[in-house]
Amino acid sequence: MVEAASLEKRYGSVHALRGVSFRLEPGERAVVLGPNGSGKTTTLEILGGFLQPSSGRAWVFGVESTRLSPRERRYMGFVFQDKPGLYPELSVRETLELFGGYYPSPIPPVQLLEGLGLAERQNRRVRHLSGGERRRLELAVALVGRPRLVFLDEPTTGLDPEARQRIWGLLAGLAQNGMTFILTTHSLEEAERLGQRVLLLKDGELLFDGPPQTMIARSGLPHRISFRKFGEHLPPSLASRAVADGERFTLNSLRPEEDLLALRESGLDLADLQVRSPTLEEAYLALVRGGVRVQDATPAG
Amino acid sequence: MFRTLPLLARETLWQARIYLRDRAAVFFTFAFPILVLFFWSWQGTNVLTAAAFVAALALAMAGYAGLAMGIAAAREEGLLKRIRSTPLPMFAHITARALAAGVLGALAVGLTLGVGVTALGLPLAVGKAMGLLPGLLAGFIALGGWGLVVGSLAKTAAAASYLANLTLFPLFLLSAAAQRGMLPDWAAAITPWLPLQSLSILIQQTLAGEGWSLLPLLTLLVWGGLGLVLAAWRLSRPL
Ligand SMILES: Nc1ncnc2c1ncn2[C@@H]1O[C@H](COP(=O)(O)OP(=O)(O)OP(=O)(O)O)[C@@H](O)[C@H]1O
Ligand SMILES: [Mg+2]
Repeated sequence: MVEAASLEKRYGSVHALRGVSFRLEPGERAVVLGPNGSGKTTTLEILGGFLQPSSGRAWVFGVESTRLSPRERRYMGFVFQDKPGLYPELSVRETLELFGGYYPSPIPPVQLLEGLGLAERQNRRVRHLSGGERRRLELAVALVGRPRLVFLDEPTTGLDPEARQRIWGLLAGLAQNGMTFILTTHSLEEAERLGQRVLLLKDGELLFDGPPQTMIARSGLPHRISFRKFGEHLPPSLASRAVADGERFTLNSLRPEEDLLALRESGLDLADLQVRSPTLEEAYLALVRGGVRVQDATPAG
Repeated sequence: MFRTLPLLARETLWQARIYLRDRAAVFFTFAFPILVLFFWSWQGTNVLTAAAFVAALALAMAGYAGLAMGIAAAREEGLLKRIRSTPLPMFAHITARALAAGVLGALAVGLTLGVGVTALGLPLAVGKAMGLLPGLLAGFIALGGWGLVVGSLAKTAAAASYLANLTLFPLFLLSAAAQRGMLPDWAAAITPWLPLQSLSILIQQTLAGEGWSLLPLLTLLVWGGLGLVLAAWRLSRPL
């Protein structure tokens, strides 16, 4: 459905993309992560046909991005990162009537506005919307044509927590009905909620491509097992790695299943056992900072 | 083609609606020419001459300056990119902008002449009004064509506004001076070949019931052809 092959982009002396390749199949939900300036927007703009790659090629629905025609655009929707591209003097509802009219079977404006929590603003001029309201309208414009594929460049930036939840629900629902999306975000929570697949960019290179769980595993970060222990000593295999804080012990573990089994077999009297897995955010930071060091062996006092 | 026509009609209506919501554009298209008309007639300019020239100015305000600034502003605000993301062909959008500007410009001409007739005693029979159409159409093609050129050259609305004013103002002054016979010879020689002056001559001839002459009409069409070719070339490249 979407394919990028060795995309390179140079803006003068800035080398923004350095050979990015990936494919999205229909129904996939991809989240592009990466630090500011890592090339997320550039990638989306090339895929959408708004920017020429310096080299490499991109296809959408099997058509080269630079040659996308109204026929393909009928099934595509966009939220842009920077300028909304809306008419400031039209009302919210008029905006959706105008843009909806470009598509064969648009979603009725009222229905869409209700889904986005904008129904009460339908007669307000775009010029007078708050930042988050305008962002939601941009998303409505992206979705009004019932697209099969949407490109969302930081769609939830500036939204309040309730609006974000609402939009996550909406996008998840649409994805269940077969909509494919590629979304950028700086919210790892959002990536975890929506992404089936993470594309991690850094300095214009694809650092990781795969499911969020794999990204966590790949980061090499340990799980944390913690518990309180009364009397008895830890088995030697664990004692050397456990950090004590009073009665409480913490164990960094790359193989939590094995360590838990060892704990159980030790027959110790444990209380308050907790296992905390690394989060996507921790994995992201570890991968982006590079050179992950696994602290698996801090001797217990 | 058959699917594009209704699309174009619809887009034109929307563009007209959007144009009418811009207060500055409405002022300069509809009110400003009438103010100029009153000013000149108070100064004692022949009402026929003044009305013809001001009508041409009204068409230029919408068809040239308004169109150019509208396109540049749309680019600046990311609207052209947004349009490109939809199935609406870009040429349909741009054509709709031009058509809307033309229709509103024609309305402004009608309003100017109507005010001339009712308030300043401009002699104009309803039958003669239809005779204005070929001239207005040619004027619209010339002014609109160059409006598209400026709109495609300017990156921002401010730049388009400077460019439009910078070009319109000299035309305005030359034509105004020409009507009072105050031009040096060289300027008097080129002025009839300028679009604003050609258009106002055509309008004046029609109003005076002389029937229009071919030369100013052809002049306008040549300007229009040049403008359209340039604009098509500029606008066919990625925006
Ligand atoms: N028009 C441009 N001219 C010069 N450099 C540019 C241009 N657009 C982007 N860049 C540079 O290209 C790099 C990638 O930019 P891009 O917008 O793709 O980053 P991003 O990952 O979307 O960042 P953010 O998270 O801040 O949105 C950045 O270093 C940026 O400064
Ligand atoms: Mg970006």
